[in-house]
Amino acid sequence: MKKLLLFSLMLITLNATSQIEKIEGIWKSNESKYLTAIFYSDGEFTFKNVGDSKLKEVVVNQGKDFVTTTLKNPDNNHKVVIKYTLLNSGKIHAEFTGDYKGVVIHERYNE
Amino acid sequence: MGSPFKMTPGKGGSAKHTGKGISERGLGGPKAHGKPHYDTTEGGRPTVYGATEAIPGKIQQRSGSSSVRDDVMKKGYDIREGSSGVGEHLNAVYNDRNSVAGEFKRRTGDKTQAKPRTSSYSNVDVQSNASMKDPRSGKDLINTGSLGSEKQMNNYGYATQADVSSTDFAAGRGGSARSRQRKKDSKAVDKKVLSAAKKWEKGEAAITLGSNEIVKPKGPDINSQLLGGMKVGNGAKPTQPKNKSDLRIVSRSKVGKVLGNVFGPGKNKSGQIIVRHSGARKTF
Repeated sequence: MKKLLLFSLMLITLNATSQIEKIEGIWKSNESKYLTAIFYSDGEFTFKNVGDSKLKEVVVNQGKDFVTTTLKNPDNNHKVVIKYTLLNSGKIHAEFTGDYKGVVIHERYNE
Repeated sequence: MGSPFKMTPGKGGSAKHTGKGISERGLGGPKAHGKPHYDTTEGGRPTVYGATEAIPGKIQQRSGSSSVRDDVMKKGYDIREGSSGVGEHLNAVYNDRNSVAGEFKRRTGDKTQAKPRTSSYSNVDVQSNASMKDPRSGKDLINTGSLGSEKQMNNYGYATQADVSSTDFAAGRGGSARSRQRKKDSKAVDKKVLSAAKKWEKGEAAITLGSNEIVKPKGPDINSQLLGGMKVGNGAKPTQPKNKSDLRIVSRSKVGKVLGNVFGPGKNKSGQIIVRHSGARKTF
């Protein structure tokens, strides 16, 4: 019985930590012309932005319910730090700080 | 009576004078018939008073604002506020407390006032999360596209987006498709004109025969020939007038005859008049 309880707790914990995995996919937003593709593999996220310029987005921090990245545009040296969290509505809440400050809500591109 | 100005009350008039001066009768004195009577005549003639003299019956102008009009309650007077609820200015904004009363007074007031509106937008300070820049690229969201790019702004030192647009238009990039097509057409015409001018200078034929652009000379103008030959029809050949009399279309005598036929007793009552002149037949 104890083992079962422990197993259940571990399962819940694992489930809680893997919520952020659901951000995997292609996302769009009204504020940006870029599409953001998020890949998840072996516990690591990879971000790619599709648009006019080649943007470099690197994951700097990752938690059970958030992912933090840094984004740089080499054309104009635009730098932002983005913290992604998944909303209950299935959308992504992206909080921008740095050269751009604000919150951008992303929706799935293929919806 | 050395002075021409008299303060003595006159002796004429309808009412009797008591002889006690004007203060008694005119300014607070006893009233003979309920109304004060002031005699400003002397010997039946009007008395001349100086500027500094007291004129009987003259009511001094009151100073201050204690006029009757001030006591009239204005329309829209709010007894709680002690002032008119209707705003004096068109941009008066009602607060939450009296917004309902203000709206009522705005509609029922004697002035037609614009409804005050509050907006979060301002041309001074815009409080909005929305940015004109792309949050990811940091580039301008509006001015990107066909009109210009940031490279143009940086490389060519453009000050405004209008400079970029004008340069693009001159280069055939900007503007609408129609304006670009017009520019191409005008350039093509310019080329043709230039080449034709060069050929003309060299003595060559500027326009090649057989092309659609050649305007071939047509035959003689038939209408002009009608003046002399009275020939009608496209196939009629022009004939040179033989004498001056042939140059006239219809002589006056002919016109008179025609009119006589029409209005007078004649054979051609049907209205069809045939004029024969130099072999031509004209039907009216």
